Amino acid sequence: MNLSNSELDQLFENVRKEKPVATFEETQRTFIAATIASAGGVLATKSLLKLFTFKQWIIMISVLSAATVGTLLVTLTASTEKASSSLSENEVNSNNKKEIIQSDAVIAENAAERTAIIKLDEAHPEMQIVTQKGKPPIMVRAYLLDDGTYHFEYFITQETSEEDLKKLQAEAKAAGFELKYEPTFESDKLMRLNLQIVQIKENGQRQNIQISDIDLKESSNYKVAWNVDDNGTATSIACGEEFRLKEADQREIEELMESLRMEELVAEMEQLEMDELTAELKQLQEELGEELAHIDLAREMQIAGLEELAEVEELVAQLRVEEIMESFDEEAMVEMREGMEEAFAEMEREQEKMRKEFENMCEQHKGHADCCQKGHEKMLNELESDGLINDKAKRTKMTASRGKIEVNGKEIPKDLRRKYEQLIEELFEVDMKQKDLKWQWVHVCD
Amino acid sequence: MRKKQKEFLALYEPIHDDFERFCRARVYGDMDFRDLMNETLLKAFEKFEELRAKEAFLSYLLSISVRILANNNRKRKEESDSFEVVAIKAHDVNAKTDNKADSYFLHQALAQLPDEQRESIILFEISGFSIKEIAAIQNATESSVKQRLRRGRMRLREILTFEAKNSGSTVKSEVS
Repeated sequence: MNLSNSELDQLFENVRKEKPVATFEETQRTFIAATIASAGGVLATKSLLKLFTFKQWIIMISVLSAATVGTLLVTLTASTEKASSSLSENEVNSNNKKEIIQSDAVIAENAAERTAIIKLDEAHPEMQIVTQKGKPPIMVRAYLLDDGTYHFEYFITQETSEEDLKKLQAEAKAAGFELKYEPTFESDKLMRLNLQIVQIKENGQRQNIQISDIDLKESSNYKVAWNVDDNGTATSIACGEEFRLKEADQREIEELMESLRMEELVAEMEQLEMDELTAELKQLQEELGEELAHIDLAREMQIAGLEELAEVEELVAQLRVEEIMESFDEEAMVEMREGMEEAFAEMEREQEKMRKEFENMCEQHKGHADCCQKGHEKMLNELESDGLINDKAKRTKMTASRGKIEVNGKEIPKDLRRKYEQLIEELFEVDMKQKDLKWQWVHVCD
Repeated sequence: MRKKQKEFLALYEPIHDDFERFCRARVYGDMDFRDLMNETLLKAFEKFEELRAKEAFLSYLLSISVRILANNNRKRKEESDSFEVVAIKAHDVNAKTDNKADSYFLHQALAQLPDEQRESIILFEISGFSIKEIAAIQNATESSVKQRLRRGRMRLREILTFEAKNSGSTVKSEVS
């Protein structure tokens, strides 16, 4: 059964109601992108990019990297200074004002421990920093009298030894509280630490601080600190990482620095042959300068051209034809006239000669034409007399090829062939013995 | 530029659906209709200043599409004049819902009509243009448009009848 018209209409109806596959928004986006591209956006950007060579990009990137590293170093220095706490600040201040007394007095049992006592001004007591030779500071004891109390700070790092911890315990006992510890060492490194601090307050209340499982890998600067009153009794005890955040910041910066791989960067920059690149840049600069100079030159030339034109116009305007004519020498004018007259005479002679030559040619041509005319007449007469044509006033066509001679499409009898071969040879100067001869003569009466 | 673009898109938005349907039906199986749409829009945008009657924007776009396709076909014909291409298309009818299958078959059938016939049919039956308007778009006489419509419909009925009979295992070959 064939599909009916109404069924076909229904199909069209369905298609008319169909939702579009490509939305307006999608089409709009594509169209806008295409208009931007066709307007030269992308191409313009591309052509701009072409201006930069690969090496120039490397230089730019290297310079940028160096700038970034520099910025980071500055940030790092600032951050480190900041992270060193008030102790460092005081140290700096004291450096300005006071002498630093090196003391060889051994406070701890560790023989390698050294103490630096920094004397502040008269109103303030000294600050004592305890370090270990050849290592970063691992313990710092500070005696400060800024608010009428002494302040003690002990840093516990992976470098902290069993002896250091014992010393800390002793200091704590001296301050009137109990400090217990359970260290975990791996290859002489303090990895983990459990701390318990018990303080008996004046009212006899027992304060218990327990810190379990301090990870010294994570907390590289764990601190136990307290203040003491004039009697040397701890007034407040604190544990934790006061500088943890700052330290963490510092680490991040360090990691970032590591990720930059400065050494590699420097090596790469060295490989770049900076001298060569600088020379290339200089050359580029010079070329650019030259181009700019050319542009100026062209402009100048244009200006000069215009000026020249203006000058010429001015000169023309200034010309006085009469004066110029007067300025001509009379003698020269006579000479010129004679020369011209002579040239004219020569031309006339040449003209006469040519006219005569032309007349001669015409005569010859006429003779030839007459001759041809007579020849044609003779041929027509012969053809008529032999009964090959009926009326010599009518159009006559004669052909000769492949040994045949035809007149108006009819071959002439064999007995007459020789006669007409001779006539054609004689009247039309045609070689009838020529191979592949194709000759044709048509005579139309005027 | 942005003002012109805004004006252009404002004019285009209401006719988008019709234009999309025409392009989709017209180049079904030949090329991505989105390319045709975009090329047409770009051409139209280039010569937007020349548009006299804004209400005839759809026919303006369609005329451009028709010209683009005619040029493309001429070029393609010149390139592939020396050989004949035999394409075998197989499709899974069961994967379509009823309406989509209808649309699919109709588009397939339209794709088998000669270009001008197909265009006339789409413009008349789907886009809803009058014969006079189609004649103007196609740069043809009204009688030739009428003839295209009559023959086109006849051919479509033949094709779709054949498709319906074979819809169980729709594998057909065509010579283009």
